[in-house]
Amino acid sequence: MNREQVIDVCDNNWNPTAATMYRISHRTMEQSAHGQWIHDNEGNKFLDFACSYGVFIVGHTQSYIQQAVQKQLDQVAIKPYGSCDENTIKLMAKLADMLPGDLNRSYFCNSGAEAVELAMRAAFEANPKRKKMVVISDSYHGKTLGALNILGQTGHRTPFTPLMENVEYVPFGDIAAMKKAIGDGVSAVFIEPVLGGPYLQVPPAGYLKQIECLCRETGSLLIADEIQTAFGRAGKMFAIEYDNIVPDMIILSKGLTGGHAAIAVTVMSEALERKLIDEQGIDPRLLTSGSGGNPYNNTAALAAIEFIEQQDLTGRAQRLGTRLLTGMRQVCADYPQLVLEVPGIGLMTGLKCANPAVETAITMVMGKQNIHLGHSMNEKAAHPVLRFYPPLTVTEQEIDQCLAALEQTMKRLGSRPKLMFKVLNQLIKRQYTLPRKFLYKLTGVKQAA
Amino acid sequence: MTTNIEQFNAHAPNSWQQEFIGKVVIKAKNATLTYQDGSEAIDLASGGFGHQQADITQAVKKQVALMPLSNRVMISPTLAEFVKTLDQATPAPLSVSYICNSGEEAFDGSLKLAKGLHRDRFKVVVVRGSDFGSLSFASLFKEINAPTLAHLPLKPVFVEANDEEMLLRAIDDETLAVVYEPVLVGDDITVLSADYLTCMRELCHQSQAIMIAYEVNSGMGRFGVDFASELSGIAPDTLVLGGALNGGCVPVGAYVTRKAINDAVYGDKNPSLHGSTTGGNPASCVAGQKAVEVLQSKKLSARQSTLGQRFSQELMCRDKVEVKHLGSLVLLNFANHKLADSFRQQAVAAGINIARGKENTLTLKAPLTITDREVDTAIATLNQVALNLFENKEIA
Repeated sequence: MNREQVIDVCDNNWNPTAATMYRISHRTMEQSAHGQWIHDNEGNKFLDFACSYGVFIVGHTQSYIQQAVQKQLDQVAIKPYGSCDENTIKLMAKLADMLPGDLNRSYFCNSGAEAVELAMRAAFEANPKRKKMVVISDSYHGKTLGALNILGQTGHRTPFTPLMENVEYVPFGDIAAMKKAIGDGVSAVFIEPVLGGPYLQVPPAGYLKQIECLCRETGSLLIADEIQTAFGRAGKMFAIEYDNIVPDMIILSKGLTGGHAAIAVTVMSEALERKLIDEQGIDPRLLTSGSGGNPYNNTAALAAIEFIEQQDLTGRAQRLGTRLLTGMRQVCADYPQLVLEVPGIGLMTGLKCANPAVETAITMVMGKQNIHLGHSMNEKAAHPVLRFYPPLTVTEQEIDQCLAALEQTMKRLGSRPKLMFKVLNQLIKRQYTLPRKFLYKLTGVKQAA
Repeated sequence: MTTNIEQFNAHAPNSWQQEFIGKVVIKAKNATLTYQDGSEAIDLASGGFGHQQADITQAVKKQVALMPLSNRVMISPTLAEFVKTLDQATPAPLSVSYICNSGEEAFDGSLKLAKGLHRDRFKVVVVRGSDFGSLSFASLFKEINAPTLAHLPLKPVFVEANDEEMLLRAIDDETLAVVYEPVLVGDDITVLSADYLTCMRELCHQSQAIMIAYEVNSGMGRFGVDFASELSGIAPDTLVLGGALNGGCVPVGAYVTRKAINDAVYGDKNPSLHGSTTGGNPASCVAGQKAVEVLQSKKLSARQSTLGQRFSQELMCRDKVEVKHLGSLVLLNFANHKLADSFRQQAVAAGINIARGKENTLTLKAPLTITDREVDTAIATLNQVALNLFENKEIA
């Protein structure tokens, strides 16, 4: 199928608004990817500073991981009932060794949302008398209907509400609000150690430790969602290391396989598992995934962790993160009308934009210079953070290339009147309900689908 | 030195430990598993597609070398090819697919679609005895005894299979969805009748409730047809797939629904409302696409009926065990639970893996691509086990 035929299929058999978006943004088809670069079907290549929001943590098709998964695919890819493969066992042992405290039971799932749901069920069962969950406003924990119950981002949740009651949302970084919400104790507190998504925010020092203390004092479970932050993205192997906290469960996904497979794991503390099984007599079917934990996926994960450790990519993320963040701040300092702030830690960085139109404009102009950024696609966020998440294998030269392109982009956009972005923002807020023909005309799409 | 088994016991979740047979798998081909200790087993426990189907493995390996996961900024041709294939393979009028990471996610996604259509409805009519996977709503609908599942916002109302009167009483204007498996496997194999599903279809039409068929177990040929919905000829509003769709290679799930329903919920919404980080990734789409192609080109559905007949006719324990089958799924009913479990344990010891059963029943679920030779070995071994169990003779 050629590009037009593929878009037509997307329109008719998959996701109509995605098809419209492909047309109006003049997207091409992905073909292959290696290292920091993605290649399309027309011979173009793009520097990937989006990384699917953190999935391609060691770049694309990294050869060390490739070797391991290609070998595994020739042996056994899917887990048979009742047995386990060597790499999965090694991965479980490795995670237990890497994580603090007694976090040593790996519950494998297929996606972050599945792992979040598993943690949610475990929390409810651990203390059946408690119904309340505390979640951070604007947090992201997956979009299954089960996980939506505790999703902070209202844009994703609202079309499906009302959902579960007894969920309280508190602002990130506000310990007084957290203390009030926890009160005498809740079922669980879900926390991203660094708030991710289009709300990227680094917490004040000690914030995580204070939450851990509140949870311990009240017997509330603490669940760390490190789907976006782990494996060096935030400059440490796990972001909980910044405050040396030990949650009752930690959820890992995105970067775990170095961009090779869908995977997630909820690692539970020994003490919590014992409580669930010995004291609560939990039905084990509540804490399982029918199809998670496969040799192919787990082989990729084990190889990715080995590679990250061998190459000291966490240290590299800190070093190069400083270079990237400093550069972004220098470039954007002259454009306060477009960029309000440049938050970040490690190689988890971004531009807090004045509005979604600015985020879109920067993304598009950078795209024309063959650099992909992590656009939030969140027109509900007043000031979305445009994410710069390069692979941890990114070179200094590639960072400088990105910064040079950003400088050109800001110069170009900075000369535009503020009113243009205000008007564009109104358009962006309504883009999915506007007539296609109007959008095509506006964006120079030639064919009339 | 710590052994693999010791490490497994130290770190594996309780649910895995309960079914662990103490073996580390190093290789698998069709239905044959090879273990680290050099022993082999034939897998009649996992079901699924079957391992190392050359067409599928080679295509997946090629895609993995190029681009296993999508960057999600650009257009994905592998996703387009897969959804087009699903459109052609599934019964009309189903045409729009949501591709995700597992059958579990696909079922949840189908509920999310229904909730998006009927935001203020919470009642789900559930055909009792169906399987819906392992996520939260699935656990609630499978009647797992966990009062905390009541915290979830959807409220199940259970109906019995093939009882039209119950359907009439249960489905109303407050019903969000009706969820069922077209074939229920418990202590019997129950096919939902055409009359029952016609009644359900009409009631769903009247109430606008979404009719959701969970075909993670029954889809892809297991019961002698590509999708078990074909047995009654009644198409659901949403068909949920997973399991064997992975081609024995890369997990993938999908639901396929009617365009009008999808458009009503997602047709004018931000596309990111309806996707996930790794859902619909190239490696999984290639695995799913090839699995459907092989299902059709090798006529695997028709072959399942032949396999089931072979097991049913050649297992030599007829007077002691009631044997039933539909497609290649075989049900063994024993006089009591102890006997069933002894049979299972001896079968496993003799190299034929069978999953733990419920009550007095064991289910044999061969991979779709089990070879004739593997079937010969499995039947001969199980006959030896039966002989030993019922007549106390040694296994040869």
